[in-house]
This record gives sequence, C-alpha cells and structure tokens, in this order.
Amino acid sequence: MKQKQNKKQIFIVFNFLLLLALISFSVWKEKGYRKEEPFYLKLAPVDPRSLLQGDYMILHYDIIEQAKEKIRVLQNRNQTDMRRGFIVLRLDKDRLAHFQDVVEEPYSDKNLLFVAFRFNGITLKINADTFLFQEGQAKRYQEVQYSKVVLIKHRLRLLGVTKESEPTHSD
Amino acid sequence: MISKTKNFLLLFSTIFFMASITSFTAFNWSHFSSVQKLLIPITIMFLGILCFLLLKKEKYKNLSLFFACFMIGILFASFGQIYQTGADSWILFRNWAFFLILPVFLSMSYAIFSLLVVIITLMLFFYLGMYFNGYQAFHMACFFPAFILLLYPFVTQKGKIPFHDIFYRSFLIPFYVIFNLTSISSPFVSGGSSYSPFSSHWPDTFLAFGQPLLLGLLFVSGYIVYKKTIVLPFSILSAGVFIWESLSKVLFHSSFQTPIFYYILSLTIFLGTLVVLMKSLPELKDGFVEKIFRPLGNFLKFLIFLFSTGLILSVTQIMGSGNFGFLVIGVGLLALSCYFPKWLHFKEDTLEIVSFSIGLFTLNYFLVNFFDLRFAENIDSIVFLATFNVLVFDIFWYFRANKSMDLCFACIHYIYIFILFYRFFGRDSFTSPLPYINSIFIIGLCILPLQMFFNSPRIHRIFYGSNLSLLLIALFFPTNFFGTTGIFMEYFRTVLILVASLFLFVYHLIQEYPKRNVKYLVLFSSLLLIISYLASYVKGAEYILLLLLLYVHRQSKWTSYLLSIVLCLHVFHYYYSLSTINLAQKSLSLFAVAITLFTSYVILKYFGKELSAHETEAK
Repeated sequence: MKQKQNKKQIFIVFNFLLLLALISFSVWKEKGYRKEEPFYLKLAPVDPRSLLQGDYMILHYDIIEQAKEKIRVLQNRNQTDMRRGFIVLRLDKDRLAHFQDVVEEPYSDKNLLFVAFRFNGITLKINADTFLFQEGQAKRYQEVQYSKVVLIKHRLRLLGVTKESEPTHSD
Repeated sequence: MISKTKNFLLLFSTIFFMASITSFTAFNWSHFSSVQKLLIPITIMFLGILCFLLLKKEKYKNLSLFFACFMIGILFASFGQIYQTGADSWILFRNWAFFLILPVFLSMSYAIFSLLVVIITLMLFFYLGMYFNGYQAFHMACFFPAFILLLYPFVTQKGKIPFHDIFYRSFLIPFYVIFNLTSISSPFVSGGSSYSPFSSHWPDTFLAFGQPLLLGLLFVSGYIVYKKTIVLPFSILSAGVFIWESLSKVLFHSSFQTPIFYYILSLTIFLGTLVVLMKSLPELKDGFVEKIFRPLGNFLKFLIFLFSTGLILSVTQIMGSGNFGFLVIGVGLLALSCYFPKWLHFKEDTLEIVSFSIGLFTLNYFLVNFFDLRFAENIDSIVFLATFNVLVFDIFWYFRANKSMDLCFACIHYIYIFILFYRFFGRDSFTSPLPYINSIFIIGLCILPLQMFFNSPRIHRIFYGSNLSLLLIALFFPTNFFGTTGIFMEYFRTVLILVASLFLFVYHLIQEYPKRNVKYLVLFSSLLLIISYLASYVKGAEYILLLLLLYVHRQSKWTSYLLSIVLCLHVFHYYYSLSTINLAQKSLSLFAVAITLFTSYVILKYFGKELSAHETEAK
C-alpha cells in the first residue's frame, strides 16, 4: 500500500518537473526570438484588464483595416470565405512595415514578410494584439505610436511598444 | 462548531493566499526581471509540492496539491505576461488542463477534478468565443460538464469507486440552473432577423438538437439507469424551459407576433410542466431532493403568474380600459393574495407573495400615471410612492402571517428609511446618497445581536431578512465609496462588526461550554477580534465572517454553505474589480487575511483540543 502511495507521489512530482522543463524550454525559445531582427508596425491603442494577467492594452494596427478591406473585396469577387491567410508586408528603410496584399498561401520573396491572420467576419487577429504592463502605468503608454515585433514562422511576437514618431529605438 | 471553524479557517486561508498571489503576479511588476517574475510562481508551486510530500494527513496533502495545481495556471499566465506571447486565452487553459490530468488520476481528489472540469469548460468557452457570440459559446461550453455528469455514475460503478453525492450534486444543480437561465434568456439575446433549427448557422442547429439530446441522455443516465432522483425534477423543468425557448425564438423572429397568443402559449407550456412536476413528487423519496422540488415548483408558479398577469393586462389594453385597467388588476391581485392561503389551506405562501408583489407593482404603475409623478424632478413623488407601498405592505404583513413577508420586512423598511434620510437630510448638503446607506448598515448592525435573545421563528425570519439586506449593502456599497464622513464611518462600522462578532462568540461559548474556562474565552475572543479586524482590509469580508459565525452557531448548514460561497465570490470580485487601490495593495490585504486565518487555525488546532473533545462528547 505504501509502495503504491510512493509511486503515485513520484508520478505527481514528475508531472510538475515536466512542467518546469517545458517552461524552461519555452523561456529559452523566447530569448532566442528576441535576438531576431525586429521591425515596427504603426498602431492605435485602446485599455481593459485581464483575469490573471492584469492591465493590458489592445493594439490595433493600420494594416488590419487595410487587410479587412482587401479580404472583403476578394470575398465579393471570388465568393470565398477567407477565415485564414497571410498579410503581405514590405519594410521601408526605417524597418516600418507597410501593407501590400492579402494571400491564402505565402510565396518566396525575400523582400516581403507574410504575417498569419485569423478572421471571423468581424475581428481580424494577428497574434500581437495585446500589450501587458504594470497596473497603473496606462498613461505612460497612451502616446505609443508603434509596436516592435519579430516574425517567427509567420507569427508575430511582440517585443514592446515605442513612443517615438520615428522608430529608431524601443521604449 | 470548533471542528467546523477549524476546517473553515484552513480552507479560506488557502483561498485568500491563492487570491493574494494571483493579485501579486497580475500587478506585472516592472521592477522585477523576467526570471524573477517567473521564479515567484515556480517557487510557490514547488513549496506546495513539498508540503504534499511531507504532510501525512490526506486532507492536508490534497489541499497542498490543489494549491500547487492552481499555481500552474498562474505560472502560464505569468509566462504569457512576461513574454507578451499574445496567445489566445483558451491556450492558457488548455495547457493548464493538460498538467492537471496526472494529479487528478493519481490523487483521486475531487477538488482537483472539479478544478479540471472548470478549466476545460473555460477553455471551450474562450475557444468557441473566437468564432461565435458569447451566449452561444457559453451555452455550448456547458455541454462539457454535462458530459462529465453523464459519465460519472457509469465510471464509478465500473471502476468500483464510491459515488460522491456532494460532488455530483455540486455540479448537477449549478449546471441545470445555469443551463436553464441561459435558455430563458436565449430568445431575448439571440440576434438576427430570422431563426430556424435547420439554419446554415450551425450553432443554432447544434443547440436546437444538442440541448434536448443532452438533457434526455442526462435523464436516462442519471434517473432511469442509476436511480439518482435529484435528476428527475430538473429534467422536467429543463424540458419545459427548452420547449418554451424554442417556440419563443421562432415566434420572436416571425411576422406573427401577437402578445396574447404568446402569453397563452407560454402559460400552456409552464402549466403542463408544473402538472408533470407535481405528479412526479410521490416518486421522490430523498429528503434533500424534496427540498429542491419546492423552489423549482415555486419558480414555475412564479412564471405562470407572471404570464397570467401579462395576459390579463394585454386583454384589458385591447378592451380599451387604459390606466384604470391597471388599477382593477392591481386591486384584484392584492385581494387574491388574501384568499390564496384559504384556498391552499395555508400550505403555500409563494403564490401569495407573487400575487401581492405583482398587484402592488401594477398599482404603482397606475399611481405614477394617474398623478403624473416625475421622480427626476421631484423627490416628494418618491416619498409619496414609498410611503404608500410601506403602508400597504405593513397592513398585509400584520394581518396575514406570511414567511416571505417576514423575510422582506427589514429590507422594505431599510429602503424606506433611506428614502426619508435622503429627502430630509441629504439633498442640499451631500451630493452622494451613500452615507445614508452606511447609516442604515450601522442601525442594522446595532440590532443584530438582539436576535440571540429571541426564540420565535417569526422574529428569526425577520432578522434573517435583515442580515441578508445588510450583506447586500456590505457587498455592493463598501465604505471606501463614502463622502466627507467616510473615514469616521469606516472605522465605526468596522468596530461595530468586531463588537458584534465578539458578542456572538462569547455568547456561544457561554451557552455551549459549561466549564466556562476564562483562559479559552480570552484566547478565542482575542483571536476573533484579530480575524475580524484584518478581514476588514478586504472590505465586506468582515461582515460575511460575522454572519458565518452566527449561522454556524445556529447550525444552519445551508446558510453557512451559501455564505462560504458568497465569501469566495466576494474575494474574487474584490480582486478583479477596478477600485482606488491597486493589485499590489490588494495582494497585501489578501495576504494579511490569509496569514491571520491560518494562524488562527493553528492556534485553534493546538490550543482548542479540550473544546473539540467536549464538542465530540456532546454529539
């Protein structure tokens, strides 16, 4: 009986060690992503509170409205229901991204970036939609103009937000 | 009482501690590095595991493991917060659920299993919320706990595991309540210009066919196969509500929208449901289930009465009686409430109070229109209407012995006193009416200890209503919302609660323990004072603890359970609501209460052994 109890305890501890290993691996991956070369997206923020993660800001991008408009045109023309796809972006000399097109599958072009999106007919999500910050610091971020991101396997990863009108360095 | 108090102290110290850590991490400290922020939940989680390994008693091991399992969610939330992963909420709950599976099956703890079911339901809700509206996502997510309830009796039988009635009922009752409330609100929230169970919008089809299938399977599995009688009354009610919901949706979205037809159809459905429910009563041999039966029956009677009144009003409007139609119906319903007891041979007072309430409401509607009362321009209109209502209520309360009226007595008079205060003292000096609400709270607190000196059930009911009214004030009007006299009122209120708690506790000890050991009186009274003072850091919690003390002394099991749930919900609301203090300060308050409760538990455990032994002997 005691042996059975000990075995159970070992498996439970193993479960938590596995969790720790997963978190450590994820932290290592995240640190790796931050070494990628970032670029900037122009945004227009908004401000509520998450259940477990505290205060956050919803990040809304110019490229999203442009993408939604393009999707509607494509839907009307081709009668297709585009729920998933890729936003095509081109970077200028300041590494600020500009909207080019919307496609269903990415293609090979080293001058273009392909950002995965999901669209439910009303909201278009591109992963870097929220910025979490210390409670009470909302005013500090009210004037941010750009989000600083990296692209990992066509998915955006948010590094931070910047106040500067020219995105030469991060906040 | 001592053993129940110990369990309560241990459980709530854990709950307050978990809330404190959640609040602390949600603050999202900019001063800490990423590694430091992650180490906090990791360290606390492994402390929980350490306690699980080292402690001997099953109760403590399971509590430690539950605590560690909860910290998994905090850890994932912290990770997403630090690295701004932008992951959807459902992914956090999915990952959390994955790491709960092994602890659930190895520990066989119902608390952790319940946590897993809630986490998976939330995961489904957030996932479906990405594609459908909130109502549809919520309704479909509720299918998962129903699926667990379907399988649970089968699994326990095949696995030769003891059937845990409390777990089954704790999930079954909220599931049916939430499911039915969602169904009732469905015709009013589902948008769009048309509705059909065969539409191309698949959630409509899924819910139209999935709901009856699910409810049917629950009935077959729970009642027919495994003889769990608690399923029967809920299944009957749910069937009636579902039929009404489906027909209402079709009618609301069709061009055929005649109120009278809709009222007649609704009445037919609910009357039929009530008849089936009444006929099934002899089948129920379980005392607990018979207690559930009564509120379900009362709920149906309330709906029937509501739709009947709506039908009569529609008919009178069509007949062109105008405002006087309301007068006739109002007086008629009040008169009916006088005769219901005689017709029902004094067995039922729900219909009396429903008839009385709707009659009074209808009369108020008549008076507002007849005298052209404008509340926004003239507060005397409110005073006039309030005085009329209180007079009618007092006359009926005095001449008709009625349990429901006893419960409402205090609340009605508190509202009236508040209106009078505001009319005669408030308008010019203060912009906010909230100090007068606090004054009523203080009046109620002053008379609270008096209930210990009465044995009459009627007086107890009146005080019960008073206690619940004060509870609503404590929860929804915390002291930090008050005006210039706020700080004085705040401390005075806290002191009053401490004194009342102390009085109740000393009274209980004197009554229950004939040895009257002064040492214990002093020790536990000091403990109570410290708990109540620190509980006041979490505004409203100190009053809930006071009520818990009162109803544990009265051995009122259901009220004690209800108040425990209220305390949990209040802690959650305190943590989540935006207010004048930030999450870091809330974390400190919650932590202070947690430490106090835990220290009190330890003191009671090691210094209260004699009292516990006396309690066990007395039983």
